Formats: sequence, C-alpha cells, structure tokens
Amino acid sequence: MKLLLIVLVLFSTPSLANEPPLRIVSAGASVTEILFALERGNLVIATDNTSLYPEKAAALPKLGYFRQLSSEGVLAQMPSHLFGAAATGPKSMIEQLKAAHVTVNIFTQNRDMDGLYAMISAIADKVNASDQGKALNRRIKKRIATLKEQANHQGIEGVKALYIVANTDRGLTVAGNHTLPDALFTELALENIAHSLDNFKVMNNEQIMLANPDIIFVASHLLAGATAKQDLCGHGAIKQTYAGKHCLVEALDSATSLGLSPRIPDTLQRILSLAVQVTKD
Amino acid sequence: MAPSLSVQYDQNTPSSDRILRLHQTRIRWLLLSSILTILVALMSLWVGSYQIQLPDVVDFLFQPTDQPLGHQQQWYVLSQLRLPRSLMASCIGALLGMSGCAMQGLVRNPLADPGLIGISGGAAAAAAASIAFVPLLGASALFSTSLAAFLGALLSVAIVVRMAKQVQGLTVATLILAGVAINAFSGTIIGAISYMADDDALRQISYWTMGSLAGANWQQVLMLLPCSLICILLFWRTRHGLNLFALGEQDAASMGLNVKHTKRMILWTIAFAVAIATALCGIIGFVGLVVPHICRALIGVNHRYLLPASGIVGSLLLLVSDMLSRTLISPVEIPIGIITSALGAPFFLYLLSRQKYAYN
Repeated sequence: MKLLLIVLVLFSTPSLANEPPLRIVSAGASVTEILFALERGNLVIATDNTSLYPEKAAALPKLGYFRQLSSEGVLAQMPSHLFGAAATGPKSMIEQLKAAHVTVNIFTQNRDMDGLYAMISAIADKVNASDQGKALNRRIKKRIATLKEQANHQGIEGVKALYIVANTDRGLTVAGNHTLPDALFTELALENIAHSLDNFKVMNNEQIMLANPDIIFVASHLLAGATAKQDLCGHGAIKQTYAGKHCLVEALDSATSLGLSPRIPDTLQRILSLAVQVTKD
Repeated sequence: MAPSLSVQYDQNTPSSDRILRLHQTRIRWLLLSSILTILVALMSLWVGSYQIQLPDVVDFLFQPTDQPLGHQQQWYVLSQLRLPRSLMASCIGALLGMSGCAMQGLVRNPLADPGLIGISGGAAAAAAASIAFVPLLGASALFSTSLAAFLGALLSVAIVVRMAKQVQGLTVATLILAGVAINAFSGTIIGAISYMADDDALRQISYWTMGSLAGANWQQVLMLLPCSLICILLFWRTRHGLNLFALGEQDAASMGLNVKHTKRMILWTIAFAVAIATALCGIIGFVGLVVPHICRALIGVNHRYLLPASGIVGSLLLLVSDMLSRTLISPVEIPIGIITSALGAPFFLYLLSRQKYAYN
C-alpha cells in the first residue's frame, strides 16, 4: 500500500525540475518595477537603461534604451523571455528575437489607472504570480480610494493643473490628453488646462497665461538645480499665472508620473497636497 | 601614409610601357583592396555583443547549414544576424560609394553628394509619413516604411529632373538648384509630420534618419544582391562618359558622347542605387562624399578604376562603421549614420581647408 502511494505521488506531481527557469530581460521602467513588486525580481537577468527602481534592478546589466535595443545584446544574456513596455523596439529586433525562440511579451496598456491594473495582471499571469498581482492591485485601489475621498473632502474639484515635461527656447512642452499626468489629474477631479492638446505638445505662452493654472507639476529632471524652481516660477508665461505668483510648482518623479508604476498612489498624494494649498488660500 | 601609385620612369621608357605599368599597379591595388574588404567582412562575423570564439566562426564558414547541438543560438546569431548584416553593409557601401563617385563626375564638383538632388530628403519625408500615419490605419509600418522611402526617393528625383529639364536637355546648375528646393520642401513636410506625430512615432522618425543595419535579414539581402549587381553594371557602363564629362559637356559631345542619354542614365542609376540603400537602412551620410575622394587620392581620376575603387572602399568603410557601431559601447548599438558622420565630417572639413589652401 505504501509503495502504491509513493508511485501515485511520483506520477501525479508535475515534474517542475523539467521546466527551465524563466530568464527575463525587462525593457521599460514600468515593467521592471512591476516584476519586482510581484516578488519575481529574481527572474530578471538584465534590463534596459531606464529601469532604475528598485535598487536591485538598477544593479542589473544594462542593454541600452528600450526603444532601440540590440538583438545581439539581448541574446548575449541567453534570455528565455523579453518583457517589454509598449514602445520596446525596434520592431525588427522583436522579430529577430522571436525567430531565435525567445518569447516576447509586449505590454501595451493605456496610460491610466485601468491600464496600470491591467498591466499588473498581465505580467502576473506570465510569471505565475496571479495571487501577488491581485493583492498588489487591491492595495493600489485601496490607497487611491482613500486619496479620492480626501480630495472630495478637501474640495479640490476643478483646481486647474498643468504638467510640464520640457522647457526649451521654443516653449513649454506639456502633458495633454492621452497622457498619464492627464489621467492622474482626472482621478482627483482636477482640471488639466492642456487637455485640448493631444499627447505631449508645446503650449503657447499666451494660452498658458489665459488658462491660468493654479498648480504646476514638473518632471523631476527639470528641477535639478538649486534655483530651478524659482527660475521656472519666473518664466515669462508662468509668472503671470496664479501658480507662478504663489510659486505653486512641484517636481514629480518622472518614473511614477510619466510611466505606469505601482508607486502612482505616492504621486497622487503629492498632487493632492499641492492642490489642497490652493483651496486653503 | 597611402602608398603612391605613381610609377617611376625616365624619358627613355616608351609611353605605352608607362601606361601598362600604371594599369597593372592600379589593378593590383583594386585586387588588394578587394581582398582586404573580404577579410574585414569575415572579421565582422566574429565581433559583436554575443561572444563567439573564432574556431566556431571558422566552422560556421565551412559548414554554414550545420547547427551544432547546444549552439543553436550561436548559429542563429552568425547566420541570421551577422552574415546578412555584413552582406548588406558591403552592398550598400558599394552602392553609396559608386553613387557618390558618379555624382561628382556628373556635376564636375568634388564636393557633390548623392543627396544633392533631393533623394535623401524625399526618402526621409515619405518614411516619416509612413511611420506617423500607417499605424493609424491599423497596419504595421515595418515594411511600408521601406517601400515609402524607396518611392519617395524616386519621386523626388523625378520632380527634380522634370524641373531641371530644358530645351537643350538637363543642365547641371538647374539640377542642383532643383535638388536644393526639393530638400527644403522635404524638410517642411518632415517638420509638419513631426509636429503632428505622437511621441512614439516622433522617436521612430528620429531613429530612422540616423540610419541602421540592425534590421538586416535574408529577405532583404536576396532582393538587394541582384539590384546591387544591376546598379554596379550600369555604373560601369558610364565610366567612359564620366571621363569625358570632365572635359565639359560640349567637348564630350564633340567627342561622340550622347550627353543627354548618358546624363539621364547616370542620374537614374544614382537615384535607384541610393533609393534602395536609403529604403533599407535609413540615411547614411558622408559615404558618397568621402569615399570618391579617398579613392581619387589613391588611384587617380580615371573612372575606369575610380568607379570600382569607390565601390570597394565604400563597402570597406561601411563594414568598418558597422563593426564600430556594434562594439564601441556594446551592448548598446550606435546608429551607423552617426559613425559615418563622425568619420566623414572631419574629413570633409579637411578637404575644404585643403581647397582653401590650394586656392590661396
């Protein structure tokens, strides 16, 4: 009987030793961060140059910018899989990797909260971490629900916001419709004054003055210097606005305000904090 | 210092002997440079981000269809990535080199480049339109970009030729001016498309204009090889005409050359060759400008030798540039257009300063 039981157990349990372990090259900061958040960071063998969070990901071998990866560079890592964000490329590289029997998964979700939840679920399914994916989504949804409640309570609805990604001689490049900053503002019922623009576009100085944003957010790499914030508040168009006069300008981490990241609730918290200052005035 | 190809002779040596010796020296030079190019092409199979031992490369060369057990990925890198890439670099380098040589002979200006007649501008504008708008139609831009670039290049040349046509035929001055106009117009189109395009398309357009051989595959190479052969043969047929053009069009006509027909043939061969190269790899600058100069300094101005030399040195330059692009900051790949510009721009400035010095 004992012998029969042993034989049954041996032949009923799937042989996990036969499945080769996943060796994932991760392209795109969002994808890398989500893999680590799902406790599957040990499967990642190399990343692209933008994958700098968490620290363990930053320490992994770097293969270049995710939009222009080299096929040989990826294959040199002997990967089983390539997990990439939407713009991972070039397309010829993807075709070459598929022909080399590397499984390629490109995650093309919308740049909004539903897109984040979908991306987490999609990645979790691919790395056998469905439970962790559901738990992560629940945590994020719970935090966002709390923040929305606070926003409602503070009465910040309709506060005018603007997100700046670049400041050059030709003008300010801002986040319009179909961008993550626009989606984040919508979550807290703020008004994006650049909503009429599609994607990231240069906004005319006169339009900025007329729209008169109450608060301005800037990608963190633009406020690197000690006087950068004051310089921006003194910008020709911005200084004529409410946000410029009160210097209600805040830097947001580029990775969590421009990319789908599990840390988006932290970014929403910062947006809420600045918006509350407007209602207090 | 480059070996001198001048033959030492004294006044007693018959001129036919001198000419024969010079001919033999040039042929030897062409053979040696061909062998060097082949060796560099073989070396390009060995270097790259994916580490492959030299004995494995040699094994592959002798048995290219053999997939050694446990080394399938290595075989894939050699046969599907590096070999088509090296072949493409060789063909495109030859096409660009010979096009530059023919263009400089046609317009009788050593600073001329095939892009002068609007080929690159037209290709870039069409490629930008394809990258920006084809995905909006739900289709993949992977193949349409190459086709659009090819057609755009030919269309721009057709417009330039039409604009430059006069009663007495194509005039070089009007050709160049029309090319400048087309390039400016193409710039306007690219600017407008860049403004309307989304972030992803904008970056793709930017990368396309830098040139790359990364997408080389056998499908493209098998199409490129016969096209390259046809272009090379057509260029070879124009060698006498190009030599006579150096005397001026009137003198060339008085020596029996059909100037109108020859000009048209040279122009359209350049257009076709550069259109194919640009369609497959994007814009790779300075090869057509720099290579004929190098060859002229080494082998002289006779197009009988200058044309094949430009083809060989063009191949060599692009093979070396491709190796550098793959290995300089491995595993990251630098677009090949940046490498050729980095090599070509200082050389071009040197040429300008040498001309200025010679003038003074």
